[in-house]
Amino acid sequence: MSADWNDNSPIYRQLKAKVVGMMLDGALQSGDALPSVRQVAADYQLNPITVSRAYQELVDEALVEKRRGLGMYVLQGARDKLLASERERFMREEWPAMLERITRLGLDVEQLLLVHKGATP
Amino acid sequence: MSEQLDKASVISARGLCKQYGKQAALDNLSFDIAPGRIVGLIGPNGSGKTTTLKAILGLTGFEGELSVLGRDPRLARDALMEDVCFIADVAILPGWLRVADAVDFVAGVHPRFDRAKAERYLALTKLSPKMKVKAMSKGMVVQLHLALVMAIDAKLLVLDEPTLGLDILYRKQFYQNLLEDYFDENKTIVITTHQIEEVEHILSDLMFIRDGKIVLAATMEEVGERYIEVMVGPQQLNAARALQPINERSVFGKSVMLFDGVNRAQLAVLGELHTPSLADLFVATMKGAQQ
Amino acid sequence: MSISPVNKMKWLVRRELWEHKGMLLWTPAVIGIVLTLLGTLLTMSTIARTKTRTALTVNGEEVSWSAIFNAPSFARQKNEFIDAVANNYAYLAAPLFLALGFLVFFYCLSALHDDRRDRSILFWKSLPVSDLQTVLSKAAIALLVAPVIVLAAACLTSLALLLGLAIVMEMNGIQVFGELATRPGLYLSPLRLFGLLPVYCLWALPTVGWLLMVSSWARGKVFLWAVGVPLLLAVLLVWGGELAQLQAQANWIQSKVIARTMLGTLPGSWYLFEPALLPQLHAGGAHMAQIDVFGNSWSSLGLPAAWLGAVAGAAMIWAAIRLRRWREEG
Repeated sequence: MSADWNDNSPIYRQLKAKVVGMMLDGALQSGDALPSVRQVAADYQLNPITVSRAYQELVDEALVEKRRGLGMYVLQGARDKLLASERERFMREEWPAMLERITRLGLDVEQLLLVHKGATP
Repeated sequence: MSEQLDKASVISARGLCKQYGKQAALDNLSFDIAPGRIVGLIGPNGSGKTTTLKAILGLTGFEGELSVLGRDPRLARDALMEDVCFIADVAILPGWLRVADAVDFVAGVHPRFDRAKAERYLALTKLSPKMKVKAMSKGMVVQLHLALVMAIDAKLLVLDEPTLGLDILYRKQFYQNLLEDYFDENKTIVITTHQIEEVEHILSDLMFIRDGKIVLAATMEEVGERYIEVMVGPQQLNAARALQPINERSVFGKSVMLFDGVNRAQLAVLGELHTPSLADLFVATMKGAQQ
Repeated sequence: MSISPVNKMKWLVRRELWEHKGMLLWTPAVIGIVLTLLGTLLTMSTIARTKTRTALTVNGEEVSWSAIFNAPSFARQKNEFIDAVANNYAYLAAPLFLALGFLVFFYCLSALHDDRRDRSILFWKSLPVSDLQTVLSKAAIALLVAPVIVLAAACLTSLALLLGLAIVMEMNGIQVFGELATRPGLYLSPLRLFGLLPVYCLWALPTVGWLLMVSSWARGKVFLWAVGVPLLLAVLLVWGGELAQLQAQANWIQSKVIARTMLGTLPGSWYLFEPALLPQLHAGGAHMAQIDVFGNSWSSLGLPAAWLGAVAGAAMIWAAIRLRRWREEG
């Protein structure tokens, strides 16, 4: 397994983003176990410390918990929490930036939505 | 760094010196390697990295102080070899050796060898017990060597260009096996390699060496925080240069500058920020050391 | 959990046998088999030829060899003949002993050099086996294991040849089996042969030491160094001896030092180096039956030269160990 890591942010943060993405998509449900640090390190050819760091941030954000002797498990309500924070981020940063871009291109937001509704049944 | 050897380190060196004729292979080298780390010792040919490894393994004499797992490799080499294992270059197993005999021999002489483990690894390969090394491809020889090494519960593993000349499949498998089955917080690994990209994300610590001197020694975290690459727009060139980049190169007509220890916020106004790849960092540091 | 040095030595010796199977196991076996076959064929053809020739003509009657042999008046000579055979049949395998000299010589040459040339020494050095043990294991092969294997092959070969000879003679009417079986020499000969092993070790030490030392030192062309240097010395000695009119001293160095460095691995080399031992061989009687190679060879241990050479050999082995530890490769 080789992932394409970009050079914009530290690897551990990108790895964390990957796990978050899986949680949002539903690939990781509440109560699911995360693959072991060792396994992820081996599969992605990363140092175990990097993987541990990513996992630790997930723990700090109360998205996963460490169960002694068993591993990392996704917490109940993690997805909801993530959705909430992602939505908030979208509204705060991405949506305004998107609106600005639409305006800059000279497009009309409502027009776009109508076209979109028309195109998809 | 204190003058004294660090007892807590797996490897502690102070003032290592070694001359080959007029050439100084090691020039007052000092460093520490903490336990549980994967350290990359990276340098051009003739930089002294092989000599450093040889000193650590007691294969060469030197001046200065060196402690490996609490022992001086010059004096206590035989005891040291029970806790240290190394793969020096690929494919150095003798051609006449059979797979089964190799396992028997290591089991017979190494107190920390787990025969069952070695046989498990071998079962996953295409190696049969009666095969001789001379009938094997380079990749298969490495598989055998690795199977033996991974079954040894050594505290320190030294790898000198372990994947040189191997095709990509064996190379990936090599590191996968190492990370999946061998490495844990009680073990330390020191790797030298030319394939920087391959080990870039596996390393926890970095040491650049040139002309027998350490040019950079840091953890990968520190490296990530210290070194920042900026894609500078033409308007910002002068402002950027005023901050004294350690390297400047051109990519698609744009100027890419590498800064060491400059404030992130200051650089953000000059352009896009990136983490430099280890290879670019290496080239930049080596060029710098040359001047 | 630690592994005893004895166990490690066991594995080291086994490793040498794996690496040099052809030289140490197959070669003596093949030579032994060839000797047996050849010897038996030769015996058969010789006896066939002599049989067709009459031995004597007595009073116009032709007397065959077998008749002579079985005649009561021939009994004493027959006894001596059978005694001689029983005591010395082990030397029928002489070519094997010669081969041993070469085998040990070439084994020592490559012992500490081959794994430096193909860099496999880096694999061996990554294991907790000391250089002392490594070099000693190779010396053990040269001085003990290889000779024992060859001695065993020699005993089997000479026994086979003797059996062959006896059978052929029986087929031609000459009874020897019964007589042979009663001779203690038949059973003592192999034991005496093995009993010569310590003598062999002592006299082979200087050569083994020299070769192991060169093997651990030379970066290439080991044979050239090992043989060339002593030969060069010998030539210089002759030349210098002639010039300085010190031929006797030059000769002494040649025979006592250079020859002993080169030829010690040949079994029986002590007779080459100390010709004084030879007359004693015959002192016990002019008869073949009473040649006492065993006792005579052991008496060579009384010569200081034997021990001085052994000490020199041991010193060179120690040098080889030091070189093995510290010599830088590539």
